Amino acid sequence: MDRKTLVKELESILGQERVISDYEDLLVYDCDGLTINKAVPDVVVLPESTEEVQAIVCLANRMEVPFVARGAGTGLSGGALPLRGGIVISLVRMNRILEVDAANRRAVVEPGVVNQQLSEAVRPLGLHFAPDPSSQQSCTIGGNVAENAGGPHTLKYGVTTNHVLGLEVVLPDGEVVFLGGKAEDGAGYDLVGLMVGSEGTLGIVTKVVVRLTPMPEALNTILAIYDSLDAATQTVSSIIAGGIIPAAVEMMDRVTLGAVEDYIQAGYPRDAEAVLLIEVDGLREGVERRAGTVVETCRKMGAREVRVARGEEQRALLWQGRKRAFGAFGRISRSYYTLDGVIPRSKLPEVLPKVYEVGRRYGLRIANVFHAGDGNLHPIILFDERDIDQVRRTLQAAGDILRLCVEAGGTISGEHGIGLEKMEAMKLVFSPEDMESMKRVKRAFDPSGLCNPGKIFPEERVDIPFLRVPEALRTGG
Amino acid sequence: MAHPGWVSRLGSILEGRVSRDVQIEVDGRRPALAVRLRTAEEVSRVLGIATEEGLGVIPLGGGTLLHLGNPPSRADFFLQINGSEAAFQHSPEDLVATLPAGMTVARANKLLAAKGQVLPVDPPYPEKATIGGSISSGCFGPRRQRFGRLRDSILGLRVVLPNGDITRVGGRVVKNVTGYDMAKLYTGSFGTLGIVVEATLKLHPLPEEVRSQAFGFPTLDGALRTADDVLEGGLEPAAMALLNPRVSTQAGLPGAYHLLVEFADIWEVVRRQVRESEVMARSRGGEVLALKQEAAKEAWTAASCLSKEWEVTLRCSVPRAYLDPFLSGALEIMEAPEVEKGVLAYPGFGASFLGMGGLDAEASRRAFEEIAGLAASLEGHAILERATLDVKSSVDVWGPSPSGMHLMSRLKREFDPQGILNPGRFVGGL
Repeated sequence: MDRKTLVKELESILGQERVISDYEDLLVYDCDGLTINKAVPDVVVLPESTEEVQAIVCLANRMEVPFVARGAGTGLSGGALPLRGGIVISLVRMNRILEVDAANRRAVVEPGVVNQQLSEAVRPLGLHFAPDPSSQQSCTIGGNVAENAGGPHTLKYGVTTNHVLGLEVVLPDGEVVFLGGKAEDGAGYDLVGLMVGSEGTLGIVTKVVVRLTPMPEALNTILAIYDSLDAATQTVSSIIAGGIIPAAVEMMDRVTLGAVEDYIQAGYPRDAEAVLLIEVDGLREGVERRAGTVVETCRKMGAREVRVARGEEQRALLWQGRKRAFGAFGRISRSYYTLDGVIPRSKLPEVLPKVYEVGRRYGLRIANVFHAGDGNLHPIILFDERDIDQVRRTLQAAGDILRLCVEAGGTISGEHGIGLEKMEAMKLVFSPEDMESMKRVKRAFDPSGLCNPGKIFPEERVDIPFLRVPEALRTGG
Repeated sequence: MAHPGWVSRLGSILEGRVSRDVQIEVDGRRPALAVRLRTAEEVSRVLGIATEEGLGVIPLGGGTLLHLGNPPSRADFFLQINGSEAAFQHSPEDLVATLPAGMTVARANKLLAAKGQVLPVDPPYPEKATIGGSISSGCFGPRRQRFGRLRDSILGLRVVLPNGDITRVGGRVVKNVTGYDMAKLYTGSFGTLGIVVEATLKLHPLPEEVRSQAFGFPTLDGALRTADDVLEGGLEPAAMALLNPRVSTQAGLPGAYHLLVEFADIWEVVRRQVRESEVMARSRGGEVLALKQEAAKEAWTAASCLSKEWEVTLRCSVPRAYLDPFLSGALEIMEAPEVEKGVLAYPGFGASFLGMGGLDAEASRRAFEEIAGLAASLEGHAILERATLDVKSSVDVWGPSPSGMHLMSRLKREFDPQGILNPGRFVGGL
């Protein structure tokens, strides 16, 4: 590939200011939230319109150069990593809310709109965008679409794909299509459903038609404090078996609580084995009775104390503590590695102790802060990436934990995506025929293979360990 | 007439479990054979043979939606799957169930009710409609208001492809982004990409209390405005249906416009919503009907689909705030002496079924095209469901080709290169 020509052609489309080609500047884009793997692109571009994205993709096709879309770079599976070089197309400048249709409860947004900003913009109308990943203060709607993002409130409200009705897409060959729309149903295959969660491998989304959800009439936030991990995990199934679907049920363990309180002082107890943060919402009468039942259930299952948040400030602080937990680990550990396995929620009491056991086996501290309500675990392995042996053990521990999840009837990714990180682990879940059926989709959308290549599907080689090993480890340097 | 070689091939691998006594037709075509399969492996072998021999396979669930789609270009045999209960798995503590595709929705719900749970599936004729058929057709009913779209409740599928591959997609857990969301592709794909043999779905708890309301109005406007008031007023109906006078009488109600509303929740919440919705209806000139349990059941059955008596039916979808101009416009288009008009709408999500009677083929075709144009102008879509062969042969029943049609064609070619599954019946003749 003639890099000089590529840069020149891109500058003629976007002007020099929005084309990044100096090495030091490109380094900023050499990884996303998965910092353990890095790859430097040949050039980064910042389009501001669908037409510009289209022109970039057409150029990439003409020059046979791979391209990768990037949102805020908060992704945790390496989805925005330009593995084979080429062009990183950053969508952050396409950040306008184009239309808010309150009567139909829809909005049309550009992919660079920040998740939280969308909800804040429609709050005066009594509406919000329900998927609320912990990174929502920075992550973009485009990224949420690419990864089918979740968050704590997906237990009741569903994940991103349940809230996307239409997409404008620049296809890998440069053609622009508008799939779906504001209506709930269309004709033909559900291409919108197929694109959501496709991790940027089937095209580049340039507009999103989202569903807006009314704010609940009432809500109640409950903090249940436990001295026993088992009691906490048993409570989760107990609540749901009782016919209550809370809006959220989150769990945090002792290590997490210590880190969070050092960082934020959100009001969590440092000396508990685990806490459950439970939110019940809906019509007022329903919240009253259900919150009461939840409190009762927690006590019955052995919570040492149950607190109900008084007022919006207390509630906001508790949620801040939960949502900034990952960041809090940066204060207690040089590096940390976040996993994303899922298990049936009823298996929580059985699997969580095994996760800690894996940590002990490899001599690594593991913290757990996660969406207990839907069985989406986030074991956080704490280590120091300067020590290559710790890195090796961390990746091995991660592989063991993913295997545990699959053996328990779950799967390897609940909301972070496969990306680069869990490619080889796909073999734990899918047969070659299963993966071939998905590759048919990839071929139909991207016959040339230029759109975010090298992601999701494992290579044909069978000797690679389960998680992508950084180059440094592989070469022993 | 000697029977073709493929008939013997199928007969020999299925140990004679083939029937040549086919009584049903699909758009005037009567396939030579019907096969009833027991396992995914049998489906695999049968599809493999069909691909080799270039046959036309018509998947048949409960046979409740055979009237959908364009007439097939080929129809060699019906393919049905047994609903073996051995394959039924229920995890009540996880609110998840895995079901064989051939099981009927009613049967599945009966088994699930034993643990106080229910499927988020609401097809017409649930005693006949199968799990696989419901998923492949993407059909729905008024309780979609509570359950949401079917595609949002499917956790995983087992699908047999035309080349015989037996594949799994998704899983058995509610959060899952492992690989492409293939379940979305197969749901509503009308059996044109593969045969669903097993499905894992999210379940809902059965509600503590269920109450139905029927509000009668002299005008469409009153009914629509009340529906709006209910939804905008923060109430959470489990089901909501709007019936015009003709459909109302078919539902055992008086001959006026009716809004049927069901509330399902804990009793305090139901009681409050019943009270508030009555106030809303009365303020819009509505009359509150006392509906006893049997009458409510009859009304909801009638509200789950238009009766088979209607010669021509359409299924339409518009953004819900545009339902008012859409229905008013559609009623005008259908207006003519001697023409019967039926309207069954679900205001909560902008869906509607329109029925027509007393039109000749040309008038039916014109009405469909005008209504489809109206729906498109309101950012929606209209599909022709039930019509005579005359009418169906002169239109694409799925309406104008959707955007992304060429992607759909490429997907079809990838999955079913010989075009054996429901050939010609789906959008754009896929």
